[in-house]
Amino acid sequence: MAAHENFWGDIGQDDVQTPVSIMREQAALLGEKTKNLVQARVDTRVDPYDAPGQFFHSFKLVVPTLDNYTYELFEVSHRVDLYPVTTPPSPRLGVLLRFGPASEQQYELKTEEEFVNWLRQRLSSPETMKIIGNLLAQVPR
Amino acid sequence: MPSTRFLFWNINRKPLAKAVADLAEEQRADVVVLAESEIDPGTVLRELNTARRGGFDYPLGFGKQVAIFTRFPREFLSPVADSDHMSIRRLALPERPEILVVALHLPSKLRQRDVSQAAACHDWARRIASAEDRLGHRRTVVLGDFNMNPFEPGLVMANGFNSVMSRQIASRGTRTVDGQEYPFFYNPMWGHFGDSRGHTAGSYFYDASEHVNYYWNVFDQVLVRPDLAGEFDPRQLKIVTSVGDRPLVAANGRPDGTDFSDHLPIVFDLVF
Repeated sequence: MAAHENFWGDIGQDDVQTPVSIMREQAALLGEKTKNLVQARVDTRVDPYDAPGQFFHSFKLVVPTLDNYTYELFEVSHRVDLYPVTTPPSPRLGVLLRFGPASEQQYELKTEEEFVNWLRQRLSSPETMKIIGNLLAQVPR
Repeated sequence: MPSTRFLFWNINRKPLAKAVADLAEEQRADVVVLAESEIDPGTVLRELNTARRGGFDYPLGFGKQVAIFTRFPREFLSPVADSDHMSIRRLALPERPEILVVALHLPSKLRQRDVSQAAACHDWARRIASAEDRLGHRRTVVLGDFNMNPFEPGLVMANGFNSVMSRQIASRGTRTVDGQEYPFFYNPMWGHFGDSRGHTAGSYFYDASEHVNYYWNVFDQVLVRPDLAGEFDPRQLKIVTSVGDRPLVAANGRPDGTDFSDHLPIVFDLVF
């Protein structure tokens, strides 16, 4: 075997945008609209013990002047191949997934386009607007 | 050490502001948490403050599932985090160690299978642990309608709420499963099953036409971390069956869901 032969092939990145990068982009845009009184951030975690192979991304509203109070707006999950994105994430514990869906309406967003459309609706929904409005109303000025 | 009295009641969307106020007065509650309340908080507050003791406030919070009132100044009970079904607050009283108060109302069994409920508990417990990590302590009390019994997997599983019936066991702090360490909760509600105190044998009655039927359930619970469990007196924890001379239960001991709620309130003291 050649000592320095590289078996890795050409590693390149697909053009596809990851769900978390789309979410982070939108999170960054909220501060502009609220003069940074209400901000957004995306927390990512993996759960190798209870949900191996899954990535979880929580979209949170943060109020810096309320001691960084956080309101979790929603959470999504996907596997290493990015799509489909599931929201809310399926109940964990591996085999229990077989027992069927949870009570809330669960969306399986198969493509980037489906995810972007869902995210647009979620972030501009009357419910989200009301929550942000309530947070803004409580901000000490 | 001074004690703080908590009252929790799922009022089943009933207009029970007056009953809540009478109960808070009678039980000398310092913190009142309501689930399934569709009453305007201002109305509840007015009733609470009509009572002789009064002095209640409605602290800032954004959760949709529970309403929290307190006799402490509102700034002492500040919001930490909210998500669907759960509200986490910080109770910081002068000269006393800060505690976390987690109020929740988890999804009903009518809307979710048992296994899904159990699996979701992993997330609820993780959110609590995350708030504890952020604030740097585990002086936490969780109260609410779990829609599960204390013996169900979601309450017992190490990666769920990891709650146990014994303060002695909880005092170990954590348990390790497959190399993963999980903090305990003490769940004193185990002691509230059965009819040793009268006809009322739980906090919620449900007669299901299926093979497994407990009839009585203890869905309304309080869990405390070991840091608070040492001083917790289970004898002060009660499922309340009357307010003044008005029974909250029918003659057979079941909750009077017509005039009151299909759930019974719980009260307990926390010493910290």
